[in-house]
Amino acid sequence: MALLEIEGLTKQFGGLLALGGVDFHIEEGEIVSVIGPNGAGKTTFFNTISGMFPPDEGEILFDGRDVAGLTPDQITKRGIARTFQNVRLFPNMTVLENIMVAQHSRTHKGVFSALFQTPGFRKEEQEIRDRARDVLGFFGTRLIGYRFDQPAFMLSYANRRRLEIARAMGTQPRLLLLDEPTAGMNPRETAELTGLIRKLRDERGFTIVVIEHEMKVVRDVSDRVVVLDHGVQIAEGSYDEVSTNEDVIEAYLGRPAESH
Amino acid sequence: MATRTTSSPRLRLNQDVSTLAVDVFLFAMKVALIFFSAWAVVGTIALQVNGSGLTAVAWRDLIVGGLAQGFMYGLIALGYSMVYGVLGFINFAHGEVFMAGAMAAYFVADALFDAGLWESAFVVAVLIVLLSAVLVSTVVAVLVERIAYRRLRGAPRLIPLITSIGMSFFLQYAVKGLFGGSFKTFPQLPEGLQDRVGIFGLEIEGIKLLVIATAIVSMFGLWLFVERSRTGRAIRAVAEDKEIAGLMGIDVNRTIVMTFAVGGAMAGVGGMLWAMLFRKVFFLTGFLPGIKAFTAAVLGGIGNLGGAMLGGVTLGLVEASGPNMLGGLSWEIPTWLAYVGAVLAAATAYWGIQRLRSGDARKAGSSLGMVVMGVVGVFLGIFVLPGFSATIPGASQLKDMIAFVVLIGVLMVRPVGLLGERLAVEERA
Amino acid sequence: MIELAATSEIDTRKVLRLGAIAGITAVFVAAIGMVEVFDTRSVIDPVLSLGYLSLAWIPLLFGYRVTYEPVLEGMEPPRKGPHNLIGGAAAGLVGGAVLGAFLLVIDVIDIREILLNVTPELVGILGFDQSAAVGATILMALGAGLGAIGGMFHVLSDRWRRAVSSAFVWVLIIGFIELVLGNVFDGLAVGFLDDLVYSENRGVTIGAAVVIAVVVIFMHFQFTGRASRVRERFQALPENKRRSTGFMVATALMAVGLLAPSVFGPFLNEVLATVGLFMLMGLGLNVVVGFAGLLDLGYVAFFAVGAYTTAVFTSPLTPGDFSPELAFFSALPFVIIMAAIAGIIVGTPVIRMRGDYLAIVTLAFGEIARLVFQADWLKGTFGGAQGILRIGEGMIVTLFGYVLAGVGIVVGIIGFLRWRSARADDDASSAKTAGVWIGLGTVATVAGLLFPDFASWTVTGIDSEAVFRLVLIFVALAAFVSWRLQDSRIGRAWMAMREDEQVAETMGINVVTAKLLAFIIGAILAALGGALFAVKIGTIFPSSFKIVQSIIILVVVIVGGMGSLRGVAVGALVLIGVLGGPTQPGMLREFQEFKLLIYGVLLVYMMLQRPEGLAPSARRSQELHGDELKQDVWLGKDQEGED
Ligand SMILES: Nc1ncnc2c1ncn2[C@@H]1O[C@H](COP(=O)(O)OP(=O)(O)O)[C@@H](O)[C@H]1O
Ligand SMILES: [Mg+2]
Repeated sequence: MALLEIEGLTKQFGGLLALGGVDFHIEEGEIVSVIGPNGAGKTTFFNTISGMFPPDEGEILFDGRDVAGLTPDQITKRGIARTFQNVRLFPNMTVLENIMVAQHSRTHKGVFSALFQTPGFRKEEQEIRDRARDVLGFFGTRLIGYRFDQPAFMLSYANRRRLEIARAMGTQPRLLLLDEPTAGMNPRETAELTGLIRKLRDERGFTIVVIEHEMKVVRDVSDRVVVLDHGVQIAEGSYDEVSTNEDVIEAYLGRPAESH
Repeated sequence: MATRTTSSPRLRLNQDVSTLAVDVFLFAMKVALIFFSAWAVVGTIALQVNGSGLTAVAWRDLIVGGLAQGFMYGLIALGYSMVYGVLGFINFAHGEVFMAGAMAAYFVADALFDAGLWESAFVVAVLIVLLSAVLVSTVVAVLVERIAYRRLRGAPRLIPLITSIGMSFFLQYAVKGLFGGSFKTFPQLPEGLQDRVGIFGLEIEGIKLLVIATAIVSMFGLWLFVERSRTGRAIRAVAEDKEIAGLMGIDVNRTIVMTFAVGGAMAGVGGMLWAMLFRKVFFLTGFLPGIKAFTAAVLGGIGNLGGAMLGGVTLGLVEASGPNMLGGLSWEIPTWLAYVGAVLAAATAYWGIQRLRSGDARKAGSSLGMVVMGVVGVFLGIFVLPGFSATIPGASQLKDMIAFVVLIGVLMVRPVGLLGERLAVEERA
Repeated sequence: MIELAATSEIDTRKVLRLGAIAGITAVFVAAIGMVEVFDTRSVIDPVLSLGYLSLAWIPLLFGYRVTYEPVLEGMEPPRKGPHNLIGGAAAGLVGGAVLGAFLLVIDVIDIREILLNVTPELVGILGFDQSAAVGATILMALGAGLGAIGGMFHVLSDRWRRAVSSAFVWVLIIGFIELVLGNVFDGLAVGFLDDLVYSENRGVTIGAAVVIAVVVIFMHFQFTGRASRVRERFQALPENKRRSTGFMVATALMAVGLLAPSVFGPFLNEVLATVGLFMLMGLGLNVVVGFAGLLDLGYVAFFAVGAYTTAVFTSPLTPGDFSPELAFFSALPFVIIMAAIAGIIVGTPVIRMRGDYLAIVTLAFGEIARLVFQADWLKGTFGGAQGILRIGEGMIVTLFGYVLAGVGIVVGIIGFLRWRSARADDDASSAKTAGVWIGLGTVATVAGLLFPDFASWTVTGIDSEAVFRLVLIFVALAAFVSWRLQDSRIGRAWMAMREDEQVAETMGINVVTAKLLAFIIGAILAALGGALFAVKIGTIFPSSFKIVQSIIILVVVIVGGMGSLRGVAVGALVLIGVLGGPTQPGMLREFQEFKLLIYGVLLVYMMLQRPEGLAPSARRSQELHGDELKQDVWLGKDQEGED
């Protein structure tokens, strides 16, 4: 059974049809890239899955259960986490706190245990902290040590992108949605992150959907590629199949070159 | 396509309990609001039909009073609406801009009265008063922008809001410190304006007519300005998208100042009319009308100039007739109507159950709300409401409350307002 | 030559502009009557009255500003020199000229019809009781002199600048707190010190002023750096040591606070009780605004709910039939319940609204609450405009019984929570210890409830000493609650929500519960404040619950520093203690008329210049100004890792 199965996903903004009946599925352990020209509806696709806007129509089955229309926190609780194209960290919280707060839906202690600092509370806090350190350790030396207590706004651009991924990992999801994780990175950083995306799946067992503009990254990480244009899927298959597909080439070249 | 292995169980709420509880509670609040409004309106009409309502003359006076008040709210609301449309924050100090206009009107009118011009050349005097009020309000509005808001461009919207609250306080107590805290009494109007004049076969107090006419003319002027003039077009462009407007060569700063100036001028007109109509001005005169005008702006759809007008007039009418409408609650609900209500409630509950069965999380909250309120409605309709009535003594004291309830109600039920809001695009991914 | 070089660095337009603004500010201060009202109060005995002080700061400040240039990184530091003094003097001169012109005008024309505070007395004060022309000249000279002193601050080295400004500030502070020190001296039976430091006119004597200034400057050079070293050492302590030290400091402060009223006079205790009330409510509002980022402008509604609940439950004169006449402490559980309900009623409709609409809607709720309590409609319950009298008279603080029961309940809860977590871990010995806790807690609770009157203590609202102690205990409780919540799962969730609500939701935070919880906790703290307020004054009227109240609490939180517990304490002490609450006087009773004006100015000033507040939490100060130094250290360390 597919981990995520989407049928007829539709989302309209006023008169604009951002998603026009998208069907999509991803198996556990797969890495699927979603590509398409700017404004194709890729980010909107993530937004509807993660519950930021409920879809107008369509079914989103995650692990066999319909999650369409749930609030974002409930969707996260069920195991879907995402990053944002325009990095949206909690800038004034420390690096560690950014990950700690992401574990909210996996932890339980409430007001009373916090007031009385019960042993259970302390234990949970310790676990939250340990898990946050573990997650940050995934990025090598980039985000550890003195960086733990640095506010997120002080990080370099590339580190902010890494922290976003770490924060998504902190919610302990099964499915990770990465929105242009390499945007704005230099070639070295991009190459490094490409390796990390594979490692996320191989070592940590996440299933991953990644929106990407960088074709090299798409080629290196994806088991399968889905192409969106004007809110509809125009192609699907392996990287080689898709990159030679006439419709795809036209979608990309049929309009003036866009910078991204 | 893989086949679905789990079919969703029937009646699965598929939502957090807390979220559901809040949804249901909100739904109940809305229903209660609508129910009481409907009861008040229907009750008022029924009492009117029974012959125990107000006389036609009393109604006419209420409505004309409400219209006059409403147009003044509209004039103030324009400033809130324009600033919100362009800068995206609530200029809490706008009520004080209005108050400054009213104060200026008082001082100039008083001086003219002392000089004997008030009676001898009333029209000229009123024009001078109007001009001074407009001038003072405009200057105050622009100064406030310059001193307090300019440095906060791009700050999170609560920051300028808090600043404007501080400004509002400062202006109130500065006026109190400079001019004293007592009521200022505006000079008596000439005989002609206090009398009722006949228009369209109605007898209306001249002053109210003057207020309404002046307001309409000012609004028409504003409309022409915004739609036709270069500056007006610039304002609209900046409201649409500051960055793009800047790229197209519009001086954004100047345009923002113009927005404050125009909003201030309208508030000045409002202030002058207020002073003339109620003949009492003091340093807190701006507070309640300010909040009510903001309510009007939201009611009409913030950022929407036509909406500000419509919102103002609507609020004025609701407020004027509101206390009387509360009297409508004293109408005994007939048994048949209560039973009809119970049946409708039962149908609603049934419908809610049907919606719940669809298992659609998007509707879970409102569906459950329908069921709960439906059941409550059936109970009330059968056991409580038949022959039920409520008297609210001193309903006129609740006049101000009506405006606040309207504000809360609008934001709960239809936050974009009657005509829809028009706001600058926010940067999106 | 020097002259020329100096003048070339002075921006004439800036001098004129700032000078004019200074002059207009001075005219404004004079015209609202501040100068005249303050003139009766002396600060440094014959030379400086509060009235002149309210003018003197203006040329000082603008004289400093006029040649102020920010230190920019990578640029040469701004040059110091005579131009600083000359620029300052010039700006001061312009300011003095504007005020002088005003003096000349009001000397000739009587404008009291319009500006009713422009009295002949004001003319006298501004003109130093000379003719207007002479007065104007003196004003200009003084303006220039003070402006030059302001400019001089640029020329001084950093250490001297700090030392001199501290000396200034301390002389003024000692001048202001004559009331406190006088009372304390009397309380400690060292009244002769009072006569040494202060003159009959309640100002510091010149001699004392000089001594204070010298001592402060001396101390400054002696101890500079020491405070920061202590702080560094404290920061370097391990987490648990730091906590226990902090806790000890807090306990010591609490002990001092509990003892202090004995040496203060009744007026001061009254002021401090008001400060405590506002601290309590400030802590509550801080949870809502500072932690969760929800701008609640109708906070006074919860305060009113607390006061009215207490009134209805304790007063023998309730307007309605419902009159349980409970003791104050027995009414508190109902206060808490009603507050929580009110929190839910106000919180629910605003949950999905954007931040600024939330602010206005809560404001509307605040007004609605007052109108409801005031209306004839519910007069039978709340007494309408006549309010409710005789609230919690002779409230009995059943010190031992209820405290024992309270401790018992807390111990029981802790035991239960421990038992639960021990059970989850299958830890038999911990479970046994937890069982003992539960047992002890139960015994204590039962014993306490059986003998509630044991060692009891009767307090009346007019006993300001006891009221102050009572308020202090509540403040300590509120501070404890805020402190524990801040660094917890729910505290972090609030912080994330404040940063970016949408993202917080996407990261798994249920914003509905998080917001409601903030509202409920805030409401309960405000209601406790209301309950204390009601018993303190014994009579409540709807007019005590106006929106100003909300705004003043907001000013306390913002001036202190949103999200900072220390900030709330500082804000309440400085603002409420010195200026006073909405109706209650502070230490400087002269400010009574002007405090709302000053609160407004402070709100604007803080938002523009110091949004992080006077005593920000460590985090906030970093977030709003960035800690550039540390950043450099970090960047230096990370040279190889960063791209
Ligand atoms: N919140 C929104 N409101 C209105 N229009 C939106 C919104 N979000 C996206 N859109 C529109 O939907 C279309 C698809 O956008 P998006 O999903 O961001 O594209 P992509 O990520 O593929 O570049 C665009 O035309 C965009 O303008
Ligand atoms: Mg995108």
